[in-house]
Amino acid sequence: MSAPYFMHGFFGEGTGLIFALIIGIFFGFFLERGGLGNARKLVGQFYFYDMTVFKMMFTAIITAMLGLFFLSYFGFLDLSLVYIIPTYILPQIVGGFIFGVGFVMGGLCPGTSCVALTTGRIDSIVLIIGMIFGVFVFGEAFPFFRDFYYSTPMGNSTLPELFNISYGTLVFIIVILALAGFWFAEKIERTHPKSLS
Amino acid sequence: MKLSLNKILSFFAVLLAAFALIAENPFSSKQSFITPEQFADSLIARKQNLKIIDLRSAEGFRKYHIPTSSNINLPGLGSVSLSKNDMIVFYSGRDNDSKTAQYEFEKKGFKNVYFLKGGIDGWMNKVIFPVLLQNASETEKKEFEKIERRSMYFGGQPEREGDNTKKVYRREGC
Repeated sequence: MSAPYFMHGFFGEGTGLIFALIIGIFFGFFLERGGLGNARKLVGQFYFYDMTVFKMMFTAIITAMLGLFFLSYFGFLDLSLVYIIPTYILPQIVGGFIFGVGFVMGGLCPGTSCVALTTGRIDSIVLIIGMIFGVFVFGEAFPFFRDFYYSTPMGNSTLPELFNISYGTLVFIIVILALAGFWFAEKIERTHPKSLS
Repeated sequence: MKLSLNKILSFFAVLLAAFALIAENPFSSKQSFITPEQFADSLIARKQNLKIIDLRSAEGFRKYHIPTSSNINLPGLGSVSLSKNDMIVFYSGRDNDSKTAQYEFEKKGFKNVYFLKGGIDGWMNKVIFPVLLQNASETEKKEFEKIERRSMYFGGQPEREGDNTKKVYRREGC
């Protein structure tokens, strides 16, 4: 028996949703514990006086990456069945840019805004209303930019395929980059006083 | 010297990353699926020992099935006699059943066993009713000629978007 259990038909959509809920609660809990429900902390990332977001994101990335790699290596998980979101490079760059502008303006991203809501932060309520409004506008206006949305398709591409290296090499490179990034991030934090928080 | 927790964790991360570097790839490069296009081509080539198993309901099978396939449901698979030299392709309505069957058979030691990616819908969309988008590039248009021939072989109806001259295709092949 190996994961992904849903793909192998060991459980259906209902059970999948229950697991998603449990994982989601833990995800939210740890985001809050890491201080990421605080818009000031998140915005600090963009001004380089608080690198918590960078450190937390990359810690999560390398933990999950090493976990998935070895689970797959020892046959507990079939990585080839894990869903990869298809790449549409140009629309995704534009989307990322819009997301970034919204992030720094509102101080929260979609996930952290929900986390901030649970602790009763008013700014998060405003942000979530805006987010739902944005989703609605996007859905209604979708036919107008449908062609752009599906332009520059690259399929379900992965970095090992793109650079023609093994998964292991990629894992190694990213872990080293992340550790170098942590060291550098702490160096920056020491030189920038935490002026806003 | 007392190491901080961060340093200890970093050390473990580097250690695991080094193992990953040596291990290279976390899974075998063998593919567990076959795309509808590849599958259609192996049918046209009349590949020997090709066994196709439709895991859908008997009713769905009666309405339409891929030529030469047999209708066996997932619980019934245990009693089917298949040779390990056969190339086996499973398909279902959603990919869940076919993936499960593929996985079970591979575990039993069958080497040449696949599930049809996208199931019966994938087959319909990619092989039987392929569509050439209006803004397709020249290479896509050229490629589509091959796709059209393949579709016609299975009695399908390829469509070029914006081209209203409906052609009637004669069913040929199996």
